[in-house]
Amino acid sequence: MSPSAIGRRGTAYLLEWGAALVEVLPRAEFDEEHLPGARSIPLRSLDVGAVEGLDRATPVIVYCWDSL
Amino acid sequence: MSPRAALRLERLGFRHVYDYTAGKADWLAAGLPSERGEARGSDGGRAIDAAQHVPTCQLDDLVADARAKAQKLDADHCVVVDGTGVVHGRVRFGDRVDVDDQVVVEEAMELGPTTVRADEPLDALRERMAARDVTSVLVTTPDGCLLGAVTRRPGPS
Repeated sequence: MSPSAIGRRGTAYLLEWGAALVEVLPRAEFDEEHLPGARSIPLRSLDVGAVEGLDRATPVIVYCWDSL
Repeated sequence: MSPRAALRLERLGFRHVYDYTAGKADWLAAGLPSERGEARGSDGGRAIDAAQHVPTCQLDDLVADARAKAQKLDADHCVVVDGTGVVHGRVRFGDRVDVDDQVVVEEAMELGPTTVRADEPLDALRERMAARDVTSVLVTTPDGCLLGAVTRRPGPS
């Protein structure tokens, strides 16, 4: 099943229902500012070890800066 | 970047993966809350921090109704929005004498008022407003929904 693209409202809705939120930008950008409750897993580090704390059955939302 | 990350998570066994494609830029531009690092320090704030409530009216309202709404808030204009809050125009009052109160707002409004995003740096925005002698700028989400207006008191001449 392919990942689903969602917008701002969908993101807010899923977060209310307990979805995990992951920012995949470099750590420095995450540290500057990020969405509330997000965890930082830069794309370059996105391996098995990096996602150890995430439940694979729980919805997870990823984001970066924009769609470009 | 996020599409690749989303596929990567699927490969790692995650069953319900979503990609917020418009990303952090969209979230911040909509004026939604964020968490900032301590190292960031203080800045001059953003447009959303200074945005104030402005009178609004619907496209089908009469100018008379829009004028009443503006007067309630001691304003000289009314922002025209649709049912979803998207900005369509603005009706100015003030010293205008050519506005017929019995006309629907859609026929009297000026189209395409200038808008800025919620995360627009406030200092730079106020400088631009002063340079162009603008006293009010609307703040909207990336979808065009009204959040408020940043106002500026004209300086002494």
